[in-house]
Amino acid sequence: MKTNNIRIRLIIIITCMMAFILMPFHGFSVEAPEYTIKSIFIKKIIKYITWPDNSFNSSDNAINLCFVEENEFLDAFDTLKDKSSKDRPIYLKNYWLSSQTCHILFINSKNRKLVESILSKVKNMPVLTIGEMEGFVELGGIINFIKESDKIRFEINIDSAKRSGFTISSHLLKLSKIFREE
Amino acid sequence: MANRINSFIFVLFIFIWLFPYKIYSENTSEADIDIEELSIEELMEVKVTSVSKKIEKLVNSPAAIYVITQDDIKKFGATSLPEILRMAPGMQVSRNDLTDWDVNIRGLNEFFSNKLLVLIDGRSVYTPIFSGVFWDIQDTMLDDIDRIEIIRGPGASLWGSNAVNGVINIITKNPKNTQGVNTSILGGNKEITGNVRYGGKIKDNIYYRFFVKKFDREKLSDSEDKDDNSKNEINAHNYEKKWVSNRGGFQLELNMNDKNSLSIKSEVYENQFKTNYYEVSFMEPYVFEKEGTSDAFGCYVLTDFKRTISETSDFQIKTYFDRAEKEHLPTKASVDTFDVDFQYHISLCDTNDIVWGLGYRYIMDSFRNSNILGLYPDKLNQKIFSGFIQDEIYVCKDIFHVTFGSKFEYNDFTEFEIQPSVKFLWNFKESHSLWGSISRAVRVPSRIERDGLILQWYIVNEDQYPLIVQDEGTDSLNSEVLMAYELGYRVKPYSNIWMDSTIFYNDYRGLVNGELGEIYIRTNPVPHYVQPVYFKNILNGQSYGFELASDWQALNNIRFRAAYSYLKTNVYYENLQEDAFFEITGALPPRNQFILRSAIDLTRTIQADFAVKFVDRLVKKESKKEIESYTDCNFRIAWTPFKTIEFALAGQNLFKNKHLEQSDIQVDRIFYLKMTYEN
Repeated sequence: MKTNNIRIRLIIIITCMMAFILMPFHGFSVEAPEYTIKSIFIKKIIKYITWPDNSFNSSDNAINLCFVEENEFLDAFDTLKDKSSKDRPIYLKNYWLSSQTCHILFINSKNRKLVESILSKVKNMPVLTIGEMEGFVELGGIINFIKESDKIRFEINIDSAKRSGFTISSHLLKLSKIFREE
Repeated sequence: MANRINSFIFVLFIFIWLFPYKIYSENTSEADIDIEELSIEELMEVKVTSVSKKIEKLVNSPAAIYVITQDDIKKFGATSLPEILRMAPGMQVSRNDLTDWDVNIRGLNEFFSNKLLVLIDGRSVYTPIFSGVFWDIQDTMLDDIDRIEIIRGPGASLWGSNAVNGVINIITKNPKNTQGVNTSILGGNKEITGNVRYGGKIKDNIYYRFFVKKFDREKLSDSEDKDDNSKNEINAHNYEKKWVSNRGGFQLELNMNDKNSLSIKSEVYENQFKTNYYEVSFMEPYVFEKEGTSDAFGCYVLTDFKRTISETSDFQIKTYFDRAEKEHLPTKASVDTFDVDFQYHISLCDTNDIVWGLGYRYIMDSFRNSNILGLYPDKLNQKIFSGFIQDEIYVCKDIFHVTFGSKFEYNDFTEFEIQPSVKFLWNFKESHSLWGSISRAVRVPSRIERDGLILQWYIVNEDQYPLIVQDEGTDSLNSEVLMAYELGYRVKPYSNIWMDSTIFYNDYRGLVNGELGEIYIRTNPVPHYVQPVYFKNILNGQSYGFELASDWQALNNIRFRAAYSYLKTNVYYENLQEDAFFEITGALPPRNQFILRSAIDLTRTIQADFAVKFVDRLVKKESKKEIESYTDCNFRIAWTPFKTIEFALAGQNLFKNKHLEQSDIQVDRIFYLKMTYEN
């Protein structure tokens, strides 16, 4: 009984000590909802991309971000919209209803046929296409989000970006998986 | 002494539990990283939250819901479904034997455990033979479980009769999310388990997976005090009990387009363990012990079709066929179930959310009778028709919702049953919500309670005929009825702390229990007296209690979760108004239960997880013996040297070599090493 008692105490003490020793460690796993991460990615990526001349006609330099399907992505963007930033203002548009140009087209669909048909419509136009479907860059999309062990990564089709007249900073390219059309 | 240590630990954990609020204010900046300020490089390290939106919606509903995620299952280190359920508040799990668990929510463990509905991917695993769940045949590949939703309190207005004390919903992952190979091997002092799963895709929208699982478990220890009083009694468990299980499954998922999806699932299993059992004869030696092997076999096929009609409406058709054969030596039960369910959901004008459904179930059972347990007739076909409707009304959208609903059911047994409920949810302040509900639920009597003959005692008289005491089913039984009243409060004071509390009051009427009848003489095969004990709806009871669950992300790499449950029950004869506790079968439930879990990421590749549980003492009726309270812990340390390989060392019940939980079989210390390869 005595040894048992001591053992239990020891375990408790060790646990407490461990907890305190471990306190200083932090920053390993930050978590966020998928579309919050994606929306922030999009905001950050914009800074490393130059659109072809004359893409922005109005003086406010606002970016029209179009989406294909309504999903949580929009909620995530809404919560970020209010925060003041030096970035260009971003306007959310529904691709199907939008009569204006889309500077960024987030093809948030995994329906291959649909994605293919949209991509063919905007081919070679100065529209930054962003997808989240396996094989998106192979179909001619420019940037694709992929999920790797619960983290969001992205791939870039450089050839497609060039054809549409985009210049992408080497910093961004370094972080991405590069896809080349042979 | 042991008690003092237990109470010391108990107080300590309560203290730790309350501690967070103080620390938190000092750590705000660390815990509340604004991910918007991160660079792209840092952003690439942010993990996608595993809690899906669906769970969030679930957690914000007017019911006492607790969700166990895949991550929780992994970290807890348990290797079987009932052990995993220990994590949830309000849940009572006790291991009786190698293959036998008592699992219950808010009730007397043996007495009320027939009031729980358990679903695996929408398939009911509740057996109508004895109104309960055979936990030894319920298993699957644990790594492929997506989540387990535990609803305390009645879920009858949606799920129908027998969802009286609660519903356990085990949901496996989509084949789409289980692509590639996952294989693991687990070896320890009490078991060896091997799993292999492979997932692939046929076309862009057709995914599949199949798995096989095999385990081999060792017997549990015998009671320690067998050399004292019970020395002369037959020790029923003094044998090499081994439990072997083989299982394989397959699932196919077709996403025909964005609107339609079809899932087909099938599983086959066989289970086998050595056991001792008794047989009775009317000659010497009257009662004798035999050794045998208890086999079980089962399979099912389930199809689930979902169609989204528009943004505001969708429907689902689910069908399954299930066969379960299980030996309970010297008897055997086989049950075939065919079930079809249709469910339609529509949102109307942003103010109403309506779900209605229809269901049909056909159950065919067949029983191998013996003279200690039999069903008369030994074969029976039953059918159940049901329908339900539920309307959630947004009286004030996102602030005040009221839900009305009812299930209507027709079964061959008790005929027409209505099970309505009324609920409200009030988000009175941001991140504070209050909910309440009143519901009526019923439990339909089991086949054994209606048609069973169970031999309880066999008394040999020297100069007279022998006397048999036996339980006899009665077909005039009614359903047991519960009126449940619940009130819950949830709060999220900071972004990293969440707390959920519930109080409840359950009022049971017409609980089934044995009533002594007149002694009669039977002449076949030799003359003997029979003392019948008839199953009757003769008890009433109340239970009340409260449950508390909390979740605290202390730092980015440290998370604590705790659950506390208090439960008090009282059961008495309808007529006599006196305490019937010592008259009924079963044990008083543990009044206090507590579990604290911590999850720490030591480095990027090493995780350490720790869980401490406290279970209050039990008083057993039959022996009037007390089972001591116990405090025990689970521990797991995992190392992921490469993305695809994980080594884990885990243990359960580490404080003590062995402890008692419900029966006189000791639950041992368990440890194992597990290697997982996932690609």
